[in-house]
Amino acid sequence: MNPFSELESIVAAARQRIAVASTGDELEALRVELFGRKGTLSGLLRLVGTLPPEQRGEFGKKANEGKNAVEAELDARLLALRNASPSATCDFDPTTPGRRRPSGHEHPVLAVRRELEDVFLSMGFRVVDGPELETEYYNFEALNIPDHHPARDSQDTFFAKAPAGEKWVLRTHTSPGQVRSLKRFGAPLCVVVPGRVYRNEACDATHESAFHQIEGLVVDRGISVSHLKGVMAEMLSRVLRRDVRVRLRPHFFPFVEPGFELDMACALCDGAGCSLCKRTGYIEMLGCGMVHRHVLAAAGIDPEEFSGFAFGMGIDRLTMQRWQIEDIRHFHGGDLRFFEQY
Amino acid sequence: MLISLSWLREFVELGDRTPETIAHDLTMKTALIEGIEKRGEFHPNLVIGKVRSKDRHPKADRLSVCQVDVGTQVLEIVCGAANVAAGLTVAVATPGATLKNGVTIQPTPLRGITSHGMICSERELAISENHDGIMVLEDELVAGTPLSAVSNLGDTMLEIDNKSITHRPDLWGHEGFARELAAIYRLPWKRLTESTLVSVGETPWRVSIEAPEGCGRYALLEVKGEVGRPSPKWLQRRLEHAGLRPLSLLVDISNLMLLEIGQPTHPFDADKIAGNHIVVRRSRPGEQLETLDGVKRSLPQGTLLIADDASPLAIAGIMGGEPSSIGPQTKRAVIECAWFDPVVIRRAATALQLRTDASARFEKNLDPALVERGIRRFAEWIRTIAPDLEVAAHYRLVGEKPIPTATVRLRPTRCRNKLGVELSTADMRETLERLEFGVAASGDELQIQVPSFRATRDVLAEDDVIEEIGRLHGYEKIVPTLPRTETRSVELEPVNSAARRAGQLLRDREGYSEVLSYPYAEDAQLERVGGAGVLPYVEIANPLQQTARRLRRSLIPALLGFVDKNMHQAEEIRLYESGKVFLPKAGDTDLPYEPVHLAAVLALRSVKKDHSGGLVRRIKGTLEELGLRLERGLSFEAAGADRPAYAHASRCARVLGANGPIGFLAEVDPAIAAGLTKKGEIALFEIDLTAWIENPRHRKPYAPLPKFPGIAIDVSFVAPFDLAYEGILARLSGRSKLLRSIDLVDEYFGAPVPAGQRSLTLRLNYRDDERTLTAAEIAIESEQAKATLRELGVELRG
Repeated sequence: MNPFSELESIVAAARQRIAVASTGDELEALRVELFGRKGTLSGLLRLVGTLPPEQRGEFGKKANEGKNAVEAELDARLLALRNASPSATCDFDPTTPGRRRPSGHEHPVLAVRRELEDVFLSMGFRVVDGPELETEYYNFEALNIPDHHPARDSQDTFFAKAPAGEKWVLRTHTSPGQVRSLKRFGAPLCVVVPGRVYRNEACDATHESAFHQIEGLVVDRGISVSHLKGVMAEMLSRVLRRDVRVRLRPHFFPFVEPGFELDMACALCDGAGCSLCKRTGYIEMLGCGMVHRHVLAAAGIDPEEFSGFAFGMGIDRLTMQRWQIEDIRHFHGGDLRFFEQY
Repeated sequence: MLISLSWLREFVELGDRTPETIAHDLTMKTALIEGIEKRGEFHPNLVIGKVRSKDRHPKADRLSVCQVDVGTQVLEIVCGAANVAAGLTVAVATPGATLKNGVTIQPTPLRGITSHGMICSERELAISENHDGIMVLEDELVAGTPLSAVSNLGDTMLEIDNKSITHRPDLWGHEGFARELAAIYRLPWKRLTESTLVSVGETPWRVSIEAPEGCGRYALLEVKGEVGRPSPKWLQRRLEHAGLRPLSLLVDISNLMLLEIGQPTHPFDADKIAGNHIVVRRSRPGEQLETLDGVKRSLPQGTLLIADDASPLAIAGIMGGEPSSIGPQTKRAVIECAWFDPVVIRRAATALQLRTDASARFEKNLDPALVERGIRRFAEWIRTIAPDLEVAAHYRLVGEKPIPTATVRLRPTRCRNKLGVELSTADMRETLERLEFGVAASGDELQIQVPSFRATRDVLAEDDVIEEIGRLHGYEKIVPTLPRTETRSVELEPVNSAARRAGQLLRDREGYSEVLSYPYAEDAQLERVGGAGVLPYVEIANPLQQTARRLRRSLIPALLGFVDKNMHQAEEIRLYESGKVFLPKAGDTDLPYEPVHLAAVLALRSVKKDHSGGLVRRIKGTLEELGLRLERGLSFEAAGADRPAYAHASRCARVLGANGPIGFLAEVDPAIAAGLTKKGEIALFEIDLTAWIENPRHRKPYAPLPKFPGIAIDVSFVAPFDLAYEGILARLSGRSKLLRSIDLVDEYFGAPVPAGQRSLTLRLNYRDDERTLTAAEIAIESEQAKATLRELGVELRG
């Protein structure tokens, strides 16, 4: 038979079978029959070499066109069959959980700490680190906490055994970061020092011997209480993602003067008083104040030229508030059933 | 501390300001008020009654029928209290009276007799929780008087947060709060009267201060008469409202003054003091004293004492002694009023674990001027409420402690700049004068004279004075503003940033959870991992537990502790921690090196025998990913003999950064792992992130995409473990220009592969940048690779 007419009849026959095929298997069988290694169409294509040179081009072209047309029809028919006839037996329940590769979990306190760091970075604060084992000088003296101050009692402070002549403590607050940062960077300065701090305190649901704080310090010419209020309101608004009103109450910390406790208008009642804020309308957030001149002087900063404010906030309590966590001991408990919730 | 509003109103005309307003204003300007407690709320129908007669109820043994005079009439009232009796003055709820609990009293038949009212207990009047019978009042009260008109029968108490007044010795009594309120509201306040007693003149009492560093001033006043009798009811109520228990006249006056001017005083039974001689001294070894709380205490040596010639009488500034206390029979007393050193008192109270109202005040550094004021005020109280007592004409005063003064320069400009608020100098001046500071102008500045009650510690410098102006002006009036800042680049510390990226990878890609352990390592956990004995640790001198005193050098012991804790509830555990470790160097006086370590642990509860050794390979893959993420060079070498004590003998590697060792990667030694998981395996790594991140950045350079396809062939062979993979790679790569990369397809060990050997399948990827490789070329390359492998002595398979 003439290869041209043979091609035509194979294509025509294939088209007919495609049109009447009723299953995917039937079509796949046809595909092998046509295009497989011993397929009829494949065999025909191999004939190109045997044709006279003047016919080769035309035959090649026709053969390819025929092949492409048949393949396209085959694919279209397959798709049509698949859509038309859903699998007879159901093999998928959309309400069954999917297969997952579970992620690990971030420690909630450290997640909040990182969030705070990012907020401060966005406000132009450096984020720096300080030693957890600290000298008594930086932990106390440099912060205007004299020798006999109650904060130095051994029921508040872990003292470390130090070489002769040295006095070491596990830092009781992140405030040593104030003088250390001022010495490292000088003024003007805008810095936060997040980190772990330690108190010699027996653990219960609300007390921990190890927890996290973030200390902040802004020192420049002309820094005032007004700036302290502004920056704190801005920071809390960013952390809590809502407009936050703050108020200052007088409070004493040795390393600031004047010193304050900063309250935030209660999220639930906005200052009106409700059960969340124990009817005070405000929630105590942090301690702060204008940097004491002795602290500036200890860092070699002239307190006549520069002024500044400092603040310190507990991260664990903020975390507990955010998630309504009832017991601070979960944070160091290492129980995966706790962490898997974060 | 509880502050009475009715008492404050005796000092200052507070008008119709509500307790809530006063509490708010004090909170914003002076000290945190934590709560408001109401003591008694009196309906107009609650009145004074006199029990005229009491008869037994004919039908009920426990009830009595009383005729009670309530001024306008006599009511028949059925009463169930055991302590009701004819002649008593009581509180009566007459019909129509509504009690705190909402009940309105009506004539009610009780077992057949109509009761026309109720005789009330303190609880029914919401004065206290006391419900042990009816409340008995003083006989002076007239029948029919409304309860609301009875002096301090009810009250409103402000609960002060003591932590907010630690720096304000002047606020530990009502007088100080009266002064504050007067200043806040610009009102006058009524000064306390004092007797005109003086210290000069003869007294039979001698005082010797042998420890002047602990006792700066000491005054002593003798009082004769019935000093042990009960004090007036109004005084008792005043104490009770503040939470103190009334005892006897002099003790109650002493406590009243504690609440009034904040100065502790102490009355002794003068007849129990040997030799009319008071000695203030330090305790000697072995001394004991039974204190007023009935506890016999051994006194730590050096405790400041009040003693007579024979023995201790009281622990100075903390608590009196039982033997010399005022009793009902006491006929002669001496009253002590002194200034004790705050540090001496605090240390003694700490050593004795005995904190009292007195010690709390002395610790705050009281105004030494209060010593003489206290004695005179005490005499004044006796004159007012017990004029029959005989007060000595003079008191003894010993001690040189000067009355403090401070003169502070205030620059109004600095004040304005610091507060960020426009205040006139005249405003500042007026504010300070309201607080009883002396103010004199000198040029542009003000000279501030600090009164002695603020000068012991609180107000010593210019900024302290600025605080006074700021708080009275009102911090809430200061407008929040943001400081003008220059743009500058800010960032995290590199190690913090690295720990964050590592954490993200470990959590989100590798499925590890972040934990937090204490830095005080537990001995048992250190012992579990072994090797703790040889390394120097920083130790806590006063640990919470003696078994957790060493500061960690590694995160591994605690992580394994967490594995132990969770093994029973999870098939597979993946944990990581990044945190500081403490690495002291012997002989170094600097603070120890405190690098941030990163450690991860992977534990399986059960591992099939032919899967053994898989975990350490998995966690190695995790660490390799970490190197790519942090862009720091990473390599591994056999750890050999100096592997950590917890590490498996062969499944362990030293981890190296570009600049040398940074940690270890290991399977936990089966003997240790067996203590945590019987059928499982544990693998882990710990690296010094601080050191690693200081290494130079390391990243593969960009390679243009190939234009021609490559061809891969797989080769399988059996090779001993001590023929390093990296060595095999180097040999293969060195022999061919076309071999572009080699991937590990499979590593298998265990039967039938002989021990110490593994079967490796490698995929060799060949490519030429200029053309497509031919089958013939690949055949040559393949033969060459096999020849190279045979040179290495491995046994080719398949």
